[in-house]
Amino acid sequence: MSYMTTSERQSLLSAELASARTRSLFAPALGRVSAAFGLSHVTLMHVPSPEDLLLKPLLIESSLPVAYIKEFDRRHMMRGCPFAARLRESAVPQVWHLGDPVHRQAFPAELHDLLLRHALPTGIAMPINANDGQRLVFWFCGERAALGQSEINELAMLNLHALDTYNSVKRNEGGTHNALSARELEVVRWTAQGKTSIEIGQILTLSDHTVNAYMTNAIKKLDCVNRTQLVAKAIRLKLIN
Amino acid sequence: MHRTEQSRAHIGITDAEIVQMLAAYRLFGFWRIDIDTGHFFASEDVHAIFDLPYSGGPINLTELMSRIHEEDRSLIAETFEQASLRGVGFHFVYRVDNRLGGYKMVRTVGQFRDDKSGGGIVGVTYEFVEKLRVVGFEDSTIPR
Repeated sequence: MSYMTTSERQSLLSAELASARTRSLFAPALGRVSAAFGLSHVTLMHVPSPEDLLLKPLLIESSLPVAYIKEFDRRHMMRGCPFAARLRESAVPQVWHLGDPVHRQAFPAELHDLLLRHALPTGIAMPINANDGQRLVFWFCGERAALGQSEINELAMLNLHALDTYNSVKRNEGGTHNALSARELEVVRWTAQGKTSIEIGQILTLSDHTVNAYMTNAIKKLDCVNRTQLVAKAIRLKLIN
Repeated sequence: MHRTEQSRAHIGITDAEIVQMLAAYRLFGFWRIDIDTGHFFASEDVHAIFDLPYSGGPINLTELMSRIHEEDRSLIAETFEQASLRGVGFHFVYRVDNRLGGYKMVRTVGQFRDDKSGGGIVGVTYEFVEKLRVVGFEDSTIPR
C-alpha cells in the first residue's frame, strides 16, 4: 500500500520548493502550494505555547490578511483556538471545514465569524519539528470544500519539502555572514565595484595570486561556482553594500 | 525566453532598424556580465538609468544596486545568481530611484551566452515610459 499520493502536481511543487533557496522565494513557493489546493492563504508559524496570547509574534511567514491578524489578537482569540493544544501534543494534521456541524461546534462563535468574514471556512494545520527543535505549523486556509484524504496526504509530503527548504534558508541566513574572513570580504567588495584582481592587489598591497586565492576561498565558502554568482550572493546577503 | 523568430524578409526591415527603433525616444541600454570576473559592462543609457557616471570599464555594482528599491534588490541579486549558476534567461521589472524622491519602473531582460564571443550574461535594460496617445518626431526630420 502506498502511503503518499504521487502526482505531477506534487513533483512540480516539490521541485519548486526545493529550488526556493531564499526567504524571498520561499514565501511565494508556499503560496503556490496553497493555490494549487484551492486555498487562498498559507502561514508558517511557531506552535503556540499555553502562555501565548497573540498570533502575530508567532508568525514566520504568512499571507493572512492584516485585518484578520489584528482582530484575532485584539480580541485574544488564541484562548479559544481549538487546535493549539493538539498541535503541541500530536503530529497528526488538524483539518476543519466550517460547513461541517461537528467542526463548527469546536470554534467559539467570534472566531467562527472572523473566519467566515475573511472567507476562510476551510483549513488544515500541520505540525512539524524544525532542525533546531522548534515546533512549527504549516497552516493553509481558504474557501473551498473539505479537503479529501488524498489531498491531505499530498500536502503532508509537500510540507516535508517545505520544511527542508525552511531549514536550508535558515542555515544560509545564519551561517554565511560570518563565513568570510575580513580579507575575503574586502576582495569581494572591490570585485563588485568593478576592480580586477591586479587592481585589488595594488589597493590592498597583495599579489594578484593572493587576491585570486581569497576569491576562490570566498566562492567555496558561499557555495558558489563563479565570481558573478559570488558577487550577486554577497549583495543579496548584504555582506557588501 | 526564446520565441519563434518572426519572418521579416518579406517586410524588408533590418535587425539594425528594429534595434534602433526599440531604443528610440527613451533610455535603452545594453550590458554584459563577464561570468569569470563578475564584472558588469554597460552602455551609456544603463549608466543614465541608474544615474551613474559613464565609464567604459566595469560598473560599480554595489552603487548600481543601491539605486534599486530595497524590496526589489534581493530578488534581482537572486536572479543573477540563478542565471550565472544555471545559464538561463530571465526578465524582471523593478523600481529604480528617480533621484526626485520617487521611483521609476525599469525592465531588464537577460540571456546566457557561452560561445566564441565569450561566456557571460548579456541583456538590455530600459525605462518604462510608455503613456497612452504620445506622439514624438525626430528633431532632424526633413520635409518631403
